[in-house]
Order: sequence, then structure tokens, then C-alpha cells
Amino acid sequence: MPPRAYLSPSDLLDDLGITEPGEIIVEALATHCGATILEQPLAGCEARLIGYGDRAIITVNSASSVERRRFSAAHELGHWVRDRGRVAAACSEEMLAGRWQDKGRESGANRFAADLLLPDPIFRPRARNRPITLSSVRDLGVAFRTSVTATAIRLVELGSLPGMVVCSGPKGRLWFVRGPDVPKELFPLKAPGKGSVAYDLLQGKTDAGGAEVDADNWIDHPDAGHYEIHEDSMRVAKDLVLTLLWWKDEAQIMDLDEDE
Amino acid sequence: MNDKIAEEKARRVLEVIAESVAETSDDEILEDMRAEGKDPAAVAQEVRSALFRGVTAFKKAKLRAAHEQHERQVEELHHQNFSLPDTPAAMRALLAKILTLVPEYGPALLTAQYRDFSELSDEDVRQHLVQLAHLGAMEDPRLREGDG
Repeated sequence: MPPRAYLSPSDLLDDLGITEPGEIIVEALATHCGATILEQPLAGCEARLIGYGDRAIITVNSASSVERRRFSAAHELGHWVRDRGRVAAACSEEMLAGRWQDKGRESGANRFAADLLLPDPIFRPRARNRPITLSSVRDLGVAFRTSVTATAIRLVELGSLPGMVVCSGPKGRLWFVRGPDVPKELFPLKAPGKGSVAYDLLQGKTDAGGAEVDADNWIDHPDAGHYEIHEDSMRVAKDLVLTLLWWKDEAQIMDLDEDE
Repeated sequence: MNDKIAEEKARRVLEVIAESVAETSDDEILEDMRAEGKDPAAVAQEVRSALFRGVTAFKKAKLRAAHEQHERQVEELHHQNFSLPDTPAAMRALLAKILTLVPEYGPALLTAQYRDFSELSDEDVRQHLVQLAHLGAMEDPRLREGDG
């Protein structure tokens, strides 16, 4: 059987002439790659991939939200087109929400899913000038039918305002994604500070919310205490808090630029 | 039949036109267009746009076809009858054999919650077998060797 050619998300979208968010039909994209998506109740995982030869079946948990199902399906499709020769996988909520930064298989499949469901040429114009907040993420998530985590990452990466996404758990920061306009000197702390909304969320003291907080609750830099940053945090899974940081007042970034 | 003859005639006419254009130099084409009062740049843009529209329509037709194919495949998976063992115990035995002979399926069939094969419900076992049969995995040579 001839090996399947690797199709990048942009190849796939181009192959099928997709130019609008409503055309990103993950079932059709999967079929184009030889995979059939099924929705069934699943226990113990969010999605499952079984492949044989040049065909695969992706089963996603029918009990999950449409956004989660789409992301899970795109994630498994990422395994299918990326990890040739590895024919089976079962991915948990933690793998889908908690792994973005390392070089492993799960991060790679998450990246594939984000690039497929939130493609740069379609997403970027819609993200332009959007505040880096959960409200923007929700609006864009409705248009693209995507999860909060994936949409937040793309807003920070492709939006026009400076921001960062941080995912934290009880033991501290799990991963973060920095927007292109945020200098590398602005590195997140290993765990959110006590003055942050995320800290309260992890302590079970609040549900979700946004606030202006001192930047030293989030940023590991000697001058961070002199600046404020906009934080918007919410729980995305049990013991996982997602935070959007927005340099609404860009003074900290501009001062760093001047120092250079 | 008449349609076929008309189609063939049209195809021949188009071939003659295509040959004629191919044999004409760029300068001759530009000269002819200017003589007809046409702007070559505007005509080129029109042609590019028409080609782009044609290519996009073709690609979007592939998207629609893929979506329809997906729906057919799901229908097949739900209604196709596969030759599976009659009893839950026999199905479980078959899946156990598959997992022994084709161990790479283990990570998908035994999830974090069901590390122990015996904890899979009868319905889970049946669904796994239906999916493997749909993919043709039951024909895997390793399974046939396992019969011997």
C-alpha cells in the first residue's frame, strides 16, 4: 500500500478551497485524509484513533461540546497525518488541554488542530484589534466553533495587540504562549502570584474573571512591580486554569524596547 | 446520441482554437487585442479571475464531495453487517486475540480508565470489533497466522 503523503493543515485547507470559518468541516477534512469521524459515548478518553493501512476511524466523545468534539477530531487527525506508522491513540482531556509547549506527539497534534481549525489567513483578519480577553475569545470561538484554549492561543499569536496565554495547575505553570509583540524578557513566573485571579481560581475561591493586576503577579522581571497588566482567567478543566494576559497599557513593553 | 455528436464537434472546435492560440506569438496576440481596442492587462486580469473562480469552484466541489462521502461512511458503519462472533464472550475472546497479535491497537482500545481489558463493556468490545472490521483489520495476515 503506498504511504500516505503528509498534508499540512494549510495544504488540506487549500486542497478543498476553504476560505471561510463555516467551511472548516472537520469531518470532510478527515475524509479527504482517509479518516472517518464517528461520535459515540467514550469513557476514559475524549477521542480515539484506530488506523489500518490507509484508512482510519476517529471516535470522539458524543457527550462533549461541539467545540471540544471538533478539536478532539482535529487532534486525532493530526496524529493520523503526522505520526505515520503509529496507528492507534486514545487522548484524554489532559492531553488535549494541557500539552502545548513541548515537542511531543500530543503538543504536535494540538498544534495541527489549532492550525487546521483556526488557520492564519482566515483567523488573522478577524482577530485584528480585538482586546486580548476571554470575551474576544468567546466571540471568535463562536465563529470558528473552537474551544477556549485553542482560540485563546490563536488570538495571542495572530491578533494585533500584545498578550500571552498561560495555563496553570496546582503545581504551577504548565505552558505558556507569548504573542509576537511581547519581548522575550517578559517571562511568566513559575506560578501565578497571590494577587492574581488565577491564584484565587486554583484555591477554589472564585469562578472566573478579569482584572487589572500588578504585573509582578505574572511576570518574572525586576521592574514588573511598576506596571499593571490585564488578566482574564477561567477554569478550563479540573485543576487547569487558563489565563489571558494583555498589556493594555503598553508602558512595560515600550520601556523594555527603549532599554535596548 | 445527438448530444454526444454536438459535444464532440465542440471539443474539436476548441482544440483547433487552442492549437491556433498556441501557435501564435505573444506579440501577435497583443497586436490583435490592441487592434480590437482591448486592454491586454485588463483581459489578463479577467482571465486570471476566471481561472481562480474555476479552480476555487472545483476545490469547493471536492469539499462537498468529501462531506457527502463522510455521511455515507458513517451510515455504512452504523448499518453494515460484519461477520462477528455471536456471543459477547466470543467477541471478547476475538478482541483479546487481536490485541495479542496486533499489540499496536492497545493504546487506543485500552484507555486510561480501562487499562484492564476485562473492564471493557460488551458494547465497547462490539464497537471496537465493528471498527476494526470496517477498516479491514480483521484481514491482517498476523491474525490469520495466529489461527494456525
